[in-house]
Amino acid sequence: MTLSNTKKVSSWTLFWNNLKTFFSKPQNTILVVMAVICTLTTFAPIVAILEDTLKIHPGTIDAHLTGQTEGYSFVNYIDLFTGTVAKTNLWNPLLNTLILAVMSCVVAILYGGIFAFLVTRTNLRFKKYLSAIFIFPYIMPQWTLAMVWKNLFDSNAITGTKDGLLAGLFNIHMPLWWCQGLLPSILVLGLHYAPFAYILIGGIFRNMDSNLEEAATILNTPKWKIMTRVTLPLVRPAILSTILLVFGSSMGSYPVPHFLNLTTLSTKYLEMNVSRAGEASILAVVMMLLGVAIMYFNQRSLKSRKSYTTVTGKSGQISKVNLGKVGCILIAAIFIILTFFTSIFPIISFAFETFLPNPGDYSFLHTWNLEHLTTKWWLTSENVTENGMYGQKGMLFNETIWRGFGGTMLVSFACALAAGLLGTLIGYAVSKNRRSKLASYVNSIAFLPYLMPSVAVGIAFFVLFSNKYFNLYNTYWLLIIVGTVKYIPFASRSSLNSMLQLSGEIEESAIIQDIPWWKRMTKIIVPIQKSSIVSGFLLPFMTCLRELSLFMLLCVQGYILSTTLDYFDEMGLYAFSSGINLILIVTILVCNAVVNKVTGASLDKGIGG
Amino acid sequence: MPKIVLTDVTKRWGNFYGVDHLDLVIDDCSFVTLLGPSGCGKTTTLRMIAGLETPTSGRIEIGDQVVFDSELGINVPANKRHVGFLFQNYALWPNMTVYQNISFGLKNMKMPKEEIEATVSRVAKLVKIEQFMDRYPAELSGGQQQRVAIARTLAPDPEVIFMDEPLSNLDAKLRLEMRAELQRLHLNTHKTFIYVTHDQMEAMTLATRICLIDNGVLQQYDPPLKVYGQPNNIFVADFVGSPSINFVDANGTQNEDGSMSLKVFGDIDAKFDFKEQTDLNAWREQEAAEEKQEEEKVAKLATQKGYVEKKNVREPFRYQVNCVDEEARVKTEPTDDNFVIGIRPETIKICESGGIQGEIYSAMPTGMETTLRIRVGNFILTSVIFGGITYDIGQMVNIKFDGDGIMLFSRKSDKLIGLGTISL
Repeated sequence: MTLSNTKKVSSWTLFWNNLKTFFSKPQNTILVVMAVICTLTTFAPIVAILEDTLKIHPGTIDAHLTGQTEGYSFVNYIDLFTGTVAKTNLWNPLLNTLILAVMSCVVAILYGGIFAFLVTRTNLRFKKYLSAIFIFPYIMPQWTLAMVWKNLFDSNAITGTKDGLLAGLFNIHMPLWWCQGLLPSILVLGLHYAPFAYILIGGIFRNMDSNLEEAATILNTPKWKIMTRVTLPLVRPAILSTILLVFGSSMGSYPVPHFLNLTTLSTKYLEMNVSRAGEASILAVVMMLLGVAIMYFNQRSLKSRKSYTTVTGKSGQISKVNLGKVGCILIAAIFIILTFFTSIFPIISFAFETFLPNPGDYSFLHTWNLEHLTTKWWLTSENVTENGMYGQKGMLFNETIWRGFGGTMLVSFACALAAGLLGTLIGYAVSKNRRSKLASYVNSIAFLPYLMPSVAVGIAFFVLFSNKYFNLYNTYWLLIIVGTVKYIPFASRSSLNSMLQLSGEIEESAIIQDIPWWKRMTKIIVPIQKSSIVSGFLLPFMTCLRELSLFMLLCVQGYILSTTLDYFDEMGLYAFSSGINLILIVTILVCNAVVNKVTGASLDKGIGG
Repeated sequence: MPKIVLTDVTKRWGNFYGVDHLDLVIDDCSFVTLLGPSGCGKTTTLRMIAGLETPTSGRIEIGDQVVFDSELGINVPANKRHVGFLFQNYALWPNMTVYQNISFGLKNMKMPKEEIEATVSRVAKLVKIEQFMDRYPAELSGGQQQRVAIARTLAPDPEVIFMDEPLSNLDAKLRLEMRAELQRLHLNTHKTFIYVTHDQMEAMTLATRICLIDNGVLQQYDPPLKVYGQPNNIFVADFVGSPSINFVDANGTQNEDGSMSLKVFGDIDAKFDFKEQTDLNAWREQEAAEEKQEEEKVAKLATQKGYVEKKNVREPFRYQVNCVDEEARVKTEPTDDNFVIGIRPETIKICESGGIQGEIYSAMPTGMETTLRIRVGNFILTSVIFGGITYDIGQMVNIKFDGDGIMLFSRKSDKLIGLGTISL
């Protein structure tokens, strides 16, 4: 045989052949492409923002302090950390941010966790209704509850704004610490993320083998001891992942502290952005560092998690705790009332606000006379300066609003398509190459933006894309790119989870028959994993519809609906901001319902994923 | 029709060798089973030939095409190797009907529609599933799914068919039925079948040759009856056959006339006559030479770049000598004069007189045969007696070892020295 002859090939040919073999597998090509894309989209903004912290910005504080108009210096760091206003500009907002993030986690886990326990492990009544309605605050925009809070508790005497419902109707004036600041922000964010805790913790409660608890019961262990020694340790992984997700999200939240008048890193950034651009960027870096710290804890907790997953098999029946005849109805009633305020009242309240003749004018509720309501906010079809409309047309005819609506839909669709597609591909490629280092790199780099505070990601892209070389500021392109980067994790997670459940042999049996890759995807893998892939598209879409923190800095007001809302709220057109909120909520609920009906996928299923 | 040649194929993960320098030639139209305990590397071998797994090094040829060569950087992807693969859990596409499952690959080959229909109905008839064409996999029983998977594998007319434990998900009765059908299928299709199993009965009954692998290393590659009757080493002897072979420790030396004087069961004298003339010293020398060669090979490999020491080194096989009292058995370091005698259960016969005396320890009649466990001193021997004879437990019987297929192994190296007769 010519074996000995053919064995002599140049190392170049060998390398070339090996390269060809490597790229002949689609999952390898995807991984390499994604590694490049994700590295660029994740690290480029970080580098840009780091550079910005060192750069001297003409016309701002650093130029003033150094006396230069260009170049680099550490003056921003020195001034921010040691300057005379370090306390107001850095330490106080940082403290507020940390308290807010930690306490929001506590509220979310307590409220969501208790609810999860009640729904999955007790004989609570009205479970179906309650668990559907409980998800609402997460589906609705973050600031919804903040605005409801304001609509309820604002009073001219205390907060110096329009009168809220309580002040207007019953002349109840709550103290300032109740009306705005830290406490309401914590409650609002905690309530907003409680569904998160409910879905994650409830998932474990539901799958938990109750034999574990029964074994303890048989050993005559007291109930509280079973709870603290058996049950809680088992849900620890879910609690941990809730903490990590809620912590990151609430830390970067802009609208809630903004509406409730709390100074956090994100609101401070916007305040300082004009005159202290470089120092503001440092605030973003601080937020990112916190995000990276969370990522680190996430990795660690994921490692220790392995030991728990074996316990949560799907076996066993769940024995339910008996709440008693009265208890099961009473507790249900309490939750019905609570969820009414968090889920249904906002919609009613927003709708009602749009019919008030003037902000805070609740005379209708005193008189029940329809004369005291107005449809002018909706129906005015021409420019009028009186009636408190500031020259705006009614919402149904207002071009600004509908242009914003169009923009929001466009951005959401595009982000959902791009993030869903890329995320699905990442999930697919990672699941095929689980052992390789490249795969785990792509998996974690694609996940990083998820843990970065939205505002910080927005800032980073703002710095990266609005300079003299290339300026994408205020284009839909920029919004779509940022949205895609931020939402890929939603899709890649749900796709990875479902792909891992799919036996590799399903695809291999098609490979053997020489069926091309795209046909394997479209004819076999996608049809089988339809519902989880759809939720990979759905989650970015829904989240994008109501996103403010991420996009706020990247476009002018009126470009998309959420910034338009912010704009009208600052202007004092509260009816408009309430109305836009209503439009958003209705859009999201309708979309969720439609997709749920058509494909069986839904938002609440996706987060648990 | 192709012949498959594996040359020095290795697959390792870190320092774990899944397949360790395997050389194998699979003849055209043969039915080869890869047999071994779970985790021994047999499925990995199969997947490497099919192209679903990439070997770390080595060379694989199918027919006259080199499909893999680590030194040339050749790696033909699985879809270009024109092979069929039958998966353990069938891997039917749940979103397609039976007809779509079978025809999907054909459509892709740009076959005209009539031809596709003809092919599908031909293979469907072959495995008797014509009536299920419109059903989805979930609506079929395990056996029917299995048939659909076979039909799907056969449809594109591959030259080689790989099967990865295809019967292990079926119940015992169906498994027997499918076994017979696979045998017929092999005859009717004239294709090369490579079949992975951990079930030695399946391997024995189906294969034209058995390739027995342990810990990534080829142990024996021979026709089934040779593997059964003339195993290369103690591991092979133990793995093949049910009930398992009896091992008896023996000590002794070779006499002038070539026979062996041995002490078995502690203190009973026995004489072992080789079937073929064997000189023990020559055998030992040859064995030592082989061992040295092997060591040199490893040492040479160790000098090569990228060599990783094998973590999962093979330990000497711990053969089971059945004892009443495990503690009483004397365990010593093996020397040159220690041997192990392998006695197949069916060669232990009960006779009226002569031989040695034993006591019936347990008796399990199935009607066709009776499996006896007979106690001799501290030791227990398993014997199979054909016919429905009943024995009382505790009954004393005389036994002898029949035939010239008694195996003599070296205890030091586990290897077979030779076959022969034994007289007590």
